[in-house]
Amino acid sequence: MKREMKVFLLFLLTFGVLCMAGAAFAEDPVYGGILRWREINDPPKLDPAQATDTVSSRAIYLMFDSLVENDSDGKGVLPALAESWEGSEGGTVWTFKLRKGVRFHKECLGESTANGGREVTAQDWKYTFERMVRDNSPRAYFIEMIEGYQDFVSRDETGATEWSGIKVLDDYTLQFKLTYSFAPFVSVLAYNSFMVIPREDAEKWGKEFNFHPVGTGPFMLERWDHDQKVVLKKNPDYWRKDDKGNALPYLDGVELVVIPDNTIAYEEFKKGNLDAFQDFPDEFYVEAKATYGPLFQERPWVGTYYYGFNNSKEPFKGNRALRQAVNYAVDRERISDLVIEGRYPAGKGVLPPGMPGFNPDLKGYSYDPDKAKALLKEAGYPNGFECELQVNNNPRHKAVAEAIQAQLMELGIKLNIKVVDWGVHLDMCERAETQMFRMGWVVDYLDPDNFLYVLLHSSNHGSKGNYSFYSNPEVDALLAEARVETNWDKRIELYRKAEQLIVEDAPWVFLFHYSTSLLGQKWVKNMHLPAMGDYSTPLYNVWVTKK
Amino acid sequence: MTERTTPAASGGSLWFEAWLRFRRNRLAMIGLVMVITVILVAVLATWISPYDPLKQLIWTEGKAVRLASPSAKHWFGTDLYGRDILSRIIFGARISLQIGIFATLVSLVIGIPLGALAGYVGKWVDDLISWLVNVVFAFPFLLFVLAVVAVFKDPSLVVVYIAIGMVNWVSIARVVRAQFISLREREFVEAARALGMPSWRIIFVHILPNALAPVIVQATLGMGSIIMIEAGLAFLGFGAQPPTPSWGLMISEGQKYLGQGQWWWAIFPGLAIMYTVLAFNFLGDGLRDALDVRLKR
Repeated sequence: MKREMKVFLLFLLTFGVLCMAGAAFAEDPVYGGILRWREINDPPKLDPAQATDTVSSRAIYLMFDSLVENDSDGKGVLPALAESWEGSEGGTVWTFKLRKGVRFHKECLGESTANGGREVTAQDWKYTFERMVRDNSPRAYFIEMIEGYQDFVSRDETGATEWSGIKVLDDYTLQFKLTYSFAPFVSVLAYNSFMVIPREDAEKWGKEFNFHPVGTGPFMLERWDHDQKVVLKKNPDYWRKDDKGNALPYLDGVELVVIPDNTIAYEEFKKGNLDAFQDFPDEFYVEAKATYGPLFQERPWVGTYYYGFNNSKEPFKGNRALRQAVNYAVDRERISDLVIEGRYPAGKGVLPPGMPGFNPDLKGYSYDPDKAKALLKEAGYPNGFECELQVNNNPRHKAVAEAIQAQLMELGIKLNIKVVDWGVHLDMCERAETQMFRMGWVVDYLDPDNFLYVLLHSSNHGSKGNYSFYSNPEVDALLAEARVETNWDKRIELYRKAEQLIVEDAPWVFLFHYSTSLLGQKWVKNMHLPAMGDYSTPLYNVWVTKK
Repeated sequence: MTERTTPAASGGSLWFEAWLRFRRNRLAMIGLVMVITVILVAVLATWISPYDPLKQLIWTEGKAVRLASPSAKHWFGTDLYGRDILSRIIFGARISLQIGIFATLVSLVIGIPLGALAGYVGKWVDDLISWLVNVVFAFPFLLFVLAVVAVFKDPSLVVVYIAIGMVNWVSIARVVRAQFISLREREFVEAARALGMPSWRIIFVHILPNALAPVIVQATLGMGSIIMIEAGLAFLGFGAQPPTPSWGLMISEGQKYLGQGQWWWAIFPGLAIMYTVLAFNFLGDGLRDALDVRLKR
């Protein structure tokens, strides 16, 4: 009896403590503290105009702002440095009203910046876009539909001194004139290259701006120890306020800690030396999910994982049956389930779920070794063939490749895996120097154009995105038509038609769609994984309860 | 002390004496037996391995054979794809030995002629070759091999032999050079020269057989480190490519699971490397003790 009483009291006590803890959880945000975020490599670029990878973009999202930004569920764009915008003249003129009182960073690397923390105006935006063209930004072509782009690109011949389609109406009004109505124009502007930059600092540093980045974001660069960490500190003049009108960010700073090895990174996280661990590795997935429960966030990511065939070279060039045979020979569901913990759903086509226009009824390929055999025979390789698959050096990609290698072997297809570094891999794919290659594409702007046009239109062969050197005039025509179509339903119909044709042509082995993941410590509050991917997780409204 | 006039005449007894000394050395005999077991495993792999080393059992037997712990069915457990680790280690012996032997051959082919030339000719030829040897020596070994592999761009086993050989020859060349310097002044060489024999004949027929003993020791000791280098290269993603059952590659793939309690994927190949490297080191040490006349008590 006494013992039962004790148990009851203990229960009450525990309950009480839990309630108090619950109350503590619900308490108001606290200021201060540093958040340590794990990175797998040193960010190659901190100049938004030059960055094309997710590691660079992580840092850029923390230091810079764009006109508009993606909402956290990937449903559309929200105002950022632009308060409002409207399209006119059939979607060929876009006028943006800028937010007032937004200031550039006062400090960079512990020194005063050249701009001195002045306010952002429309001139800065014009300068930013023109600078992208002047510095040959690899992403300037995303907005090639703004009038005068070609003239300004070849300004040496045309003598153009400005990008004529970008107009400053007054200090807080910016206007873009397009050569044709490009439906996703506003969402393209949320991409992380289109971030405003102060002219004074850009001109002071020139190409060195990459190492002295100055923006308007919640954090400013304090130190960059290459291959170790990027130290960012709070921007005291940040424009955003929380619901109660309090200044943001709550954190005193963010450290992007570079730890290339997954095992070491996870050990550091377990010891509490890291606060956030993004793109969580498969080998610790089961354990981490069980240990951390809701602190482990994971959601579908608008992206597609595929193996491209080199459609410009033998044996895949002009042999559709052969490409289809490989598609039928791969058991996507079971590879996902058995090799990568079921984290990437099997994919049928180009567009990932979550992308407008995603077609759940698309006719794709499922595992069918008999059909694969028949197609191999039709393709002229009844006993299989040998070919080389190039994969970039990453544990997950290697694991998937070894599984696919074994499955193709069942049909006599001998796949030789070649593992190379990311930079080399990208170069070789861009120059069509591989036979077959692994590639992935995650969303830049929420429009089917970002996948279908960029990756499969014949005008984008090579570095622009069509690494498989696929070309089909019928598909080209449909994609070009969809680009300028303003009726949304009609556009989607065009994209679906094009995607079905592409899937039948099988320029790729359609494999998976991505998921994105983020593990945070229990003392990190209000950190939410957005649909656009772990690297764009906002940290301006995150706080930590442990200092 | 009697001076031998022709090396061939008493060569047999030299080797026989060495063998007697070798047999008395227990560690050396253990090393020999260990090396023979590795060679036997490699040669008989097809017959003794319980499974096909490339067969991924998960597709037929499901999750039960995925990262399965050691059991009666799979003595060393299975990996992520349900491949039998014991079978992979058995076939891995082929890869390691193959690399060890061919890389050593490459270093001998480069190292012996250059060392001989430097030692026999002397003067500026010696200066030049010694300078080259020192330059290669000055580089960190693994880094140099990595650089050579990187130049070929297309990592394959043949590239690995050549790369290791291109770096490893320096230790052979040094030994050969030292031997030639001491041997070229000996009477039998002078006699050969007095008879008007061409230099190549003196080098290859008269001096080289007498210089072989230290080269054999060096080459055997080198086998161990070459096998380590191969494992290191495979671990770093150079050299053997999947699904080749290279020990280094297995460690590299398996080490991620070490902390999760699935230790067998990385530990067993690690033990295999340790066994083989120890085997060659014991054998090499034994050979040195047996062949080095100066150490004779």
